[in-house]
Amino acid sequence: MNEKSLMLRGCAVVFGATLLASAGSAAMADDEHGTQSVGVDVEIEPRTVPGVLAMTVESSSTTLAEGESTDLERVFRGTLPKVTVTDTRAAEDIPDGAFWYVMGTASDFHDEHGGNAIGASHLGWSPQLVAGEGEGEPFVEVGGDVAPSRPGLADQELLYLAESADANAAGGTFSAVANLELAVPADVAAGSYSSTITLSLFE
Amino acid sequence: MRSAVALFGALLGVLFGALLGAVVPALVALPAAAAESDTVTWSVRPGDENGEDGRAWVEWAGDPGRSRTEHMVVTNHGDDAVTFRLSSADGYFTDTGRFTMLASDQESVAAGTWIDLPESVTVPAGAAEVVPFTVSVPDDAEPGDHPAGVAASVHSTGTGEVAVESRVGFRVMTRVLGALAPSAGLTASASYTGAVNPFEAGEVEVGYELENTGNTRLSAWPEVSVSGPFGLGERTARGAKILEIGPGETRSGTVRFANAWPLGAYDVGVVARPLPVSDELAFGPVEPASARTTALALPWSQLLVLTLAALLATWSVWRRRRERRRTAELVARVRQEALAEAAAVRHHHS
Repeated sequence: MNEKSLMLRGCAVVFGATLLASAGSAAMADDEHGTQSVGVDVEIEPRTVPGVLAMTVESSSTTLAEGESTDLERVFRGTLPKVTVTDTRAAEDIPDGAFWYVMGTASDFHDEHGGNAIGASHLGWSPQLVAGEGEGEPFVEVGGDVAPSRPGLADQELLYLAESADANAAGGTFSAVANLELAVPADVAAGSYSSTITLSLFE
Repeated sequence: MRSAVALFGALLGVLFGALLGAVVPALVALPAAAAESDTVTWSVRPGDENGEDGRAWVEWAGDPGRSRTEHMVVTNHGDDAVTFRLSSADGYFTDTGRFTMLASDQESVAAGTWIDLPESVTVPAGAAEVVPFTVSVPDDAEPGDHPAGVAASVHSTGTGEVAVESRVGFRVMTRVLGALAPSAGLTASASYTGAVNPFEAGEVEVGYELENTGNTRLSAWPEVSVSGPFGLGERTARGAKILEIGPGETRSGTVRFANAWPLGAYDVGVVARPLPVSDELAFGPVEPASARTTALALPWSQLLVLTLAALLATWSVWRRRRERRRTAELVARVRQEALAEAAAVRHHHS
């Protein structure tokens, strides 16, 4: 009889304690938000020469070298040559609602001699801003990482101007590089495959 | 007490954030710089015979059968003369609302075929070339917006596995005059996720898909509203603004409502009115597209808590009743024994 009474009391205590803990944690979960403001001063000299929006690329292609392949998957890595966008236009020269961006799309990998192909969805990338050329600037961003699996590198953003009215007022030079990764099943036919990544700058 | 805990938590958070802020930039490892190779820098803008005219893209309206001459200004900012390959292709908007055009290995079938452009242009260092091109609307073109793009591109050299074709261009938007029929369709789905903690509210997640079923470009700003039974807990929120969506394209979005208590079932409605993309290409008011759905929101954790409480209460009541009965029995038995003893003693004495 004593044991039963102890068990009932124990259960009631555990139940009550759990309820109390739940109520307490829900009450304490209030978010504390804070804002920080940083003053920024900039002196903009009046322009005498009309600015440009231009893209700079390196003229060489890139090679993929085999990385840490496993029994099931073969992995190849490389680097996309640096892409730089220079925007030196004055804010009033930029049409309303216009903001630039660089998109990237990969084509299938084709083997000229063997006639085999590797789908473009096997290629992924991870873009990064280059230090000193856009890194840390709040109005320029790189696209997210794309995994080497469906849908893969199709119409993905590489580098773009964040869409805000203040963003257009800031010109400058912004560069991005991207680490490329090709992941194919281990039973892929050997050969010399090549693909083309199309980078497009539009506004 | 609560504020002290919260303050401590905030301090920890600030420390952690500062640490992260200091460590993360160092962790972003940059690939080794490539060997110095030739670079090409160029820009491409719309213009007239004399050069750039300040436009960022070409937008015009014409009847079927009309054609228009536009100019593409290619400026070479580098130190060497470069031959650029010129291309035109069908244009479209990606999932994130970016305009782009088909890559060179894909064939254009729509407005990209309306553009007549030279194959290539050679631009001396530091100079600009004005390239005229014509856009011809076929006689049997459908009314509405037809996006296309033109670009000047360079192809990488070398024998690496991955070649890079880089292009700079602008869009050529042709609106074929005729019966403009802007319209859109919406579909929606909703689900409720309850919290395990019965004192915490759950969340309603609403996903919707907007399809441009008309023949003009549209913009829209979907509005999502949820309400429980009898209008309890009614809330409205806006999804992401869709700035531009071409005919035939679909755009999807999600809206989450936090702090939603499980009121049994939530009625979900999504409404989006198609709007013109710019003032020049305006159309009259259009019927909004809408979709309705329901999300079941049963209060499982709250019911569980109540059931457990009821069970414990019943158990306790039952136990107490049994104890009382036993005590009564015990008392009755003791009394009987005492009576029997007393009777026996009396008997003994007599």
